[in-house]
Amino acid sequence: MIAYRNDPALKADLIDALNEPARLPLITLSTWSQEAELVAWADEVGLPAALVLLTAHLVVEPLHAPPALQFARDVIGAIEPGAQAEAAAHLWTIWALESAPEPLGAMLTAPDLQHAASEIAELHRSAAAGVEIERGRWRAARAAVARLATDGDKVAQAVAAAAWDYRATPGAVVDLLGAWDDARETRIRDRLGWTEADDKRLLQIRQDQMKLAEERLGPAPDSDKADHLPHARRLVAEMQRLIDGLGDPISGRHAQMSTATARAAAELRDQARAALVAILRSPASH
Amino acid sequence: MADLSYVTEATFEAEVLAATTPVLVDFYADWCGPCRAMEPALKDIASEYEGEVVVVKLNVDENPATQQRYGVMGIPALLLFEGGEVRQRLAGAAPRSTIAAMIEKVAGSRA
Repeated sequence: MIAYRNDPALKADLIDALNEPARLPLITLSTWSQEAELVAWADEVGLPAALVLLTAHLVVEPLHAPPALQFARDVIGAIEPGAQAEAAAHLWTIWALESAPEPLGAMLTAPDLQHAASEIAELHRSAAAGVEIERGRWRAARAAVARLATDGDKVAQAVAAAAWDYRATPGAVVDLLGAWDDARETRIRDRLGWTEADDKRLLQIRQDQMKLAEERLGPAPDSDKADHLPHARRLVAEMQRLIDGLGDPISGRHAQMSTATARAAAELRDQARAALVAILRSPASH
Repeated sequence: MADLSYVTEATFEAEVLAATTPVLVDFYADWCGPCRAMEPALKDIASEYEGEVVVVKLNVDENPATQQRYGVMGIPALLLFEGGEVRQRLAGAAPRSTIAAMIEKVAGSRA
């Protein structure tokens, strides 16, 4: 894969596009449904699909937002036309497993699982160095994690998500990012004592209060009527007012948990973006 | 990525229940966003386990009896059949490694 098909004009055109948001596609959280399109686009511009998918998923806000635009500019700008950028996604995965502020390898507590994570990092180190790795070795690494992990171990699931050949299965790097985020969220929930029973109770409260709100505000206008959306907003506001009126501490606990998980997700995204750009700017990735 | 094939109530017996290799059936609907989101992962799984597991799709809107027969309450749902029986099942969209782990439980026990 030759970056930008060795054509400086192609790179310049992409950077120009980032300076003219009107020309950009709307890349948002819905990237999960755009994988095939992104892989095709990566091939068109000569960039590794895993790198493009990872970049797209790190733009967890509309691409038109300034920080997302800057991140995209940094990624595109760091890759020279004609360069081989395959190593970047592998090096980023090693960062996730070993050297991130809260690396996945260190989140594992069982020594045998930590060893399995190290083996996966070694595979990525070899792949980054251009070594051809048999598909069976990735599979064996995944199977080792699956065998050693207990059911529901989110960190182990994230580590297993890293054990794929990105050339054949570029979307795996996105699974890794999602599973890592999930594992961090689970830790926060556990730390704050939030349980599945809390989820169920909160859902029940919301459903009950929504029903009450619907009774108070009357039937919703047809969906094609102009006042449909204002009615829906009033309904949600009324439901929230009723929930607040209950004075149940579960609402406050949920708000606290939501804030903490959102903050952690943003933190992970920022760290992951910075790491990817640093990797792309380092000689090791070319 | 491999292309996925489709089964129906008419072909389910021959292509899933009587198959000599395990068959992973994706219960889906055209209107289901998470089902579409999982499509690339399923294609990757079909490539990764080619020759060991066959991955097929079944549209629940067009094949409601099969959905009911196997107690599929929501979509997407993945059921892994072997020897005519359901060996593993997974509800909701899942990443590649989760689907792979489900297959390994069956493929591993065959090895």
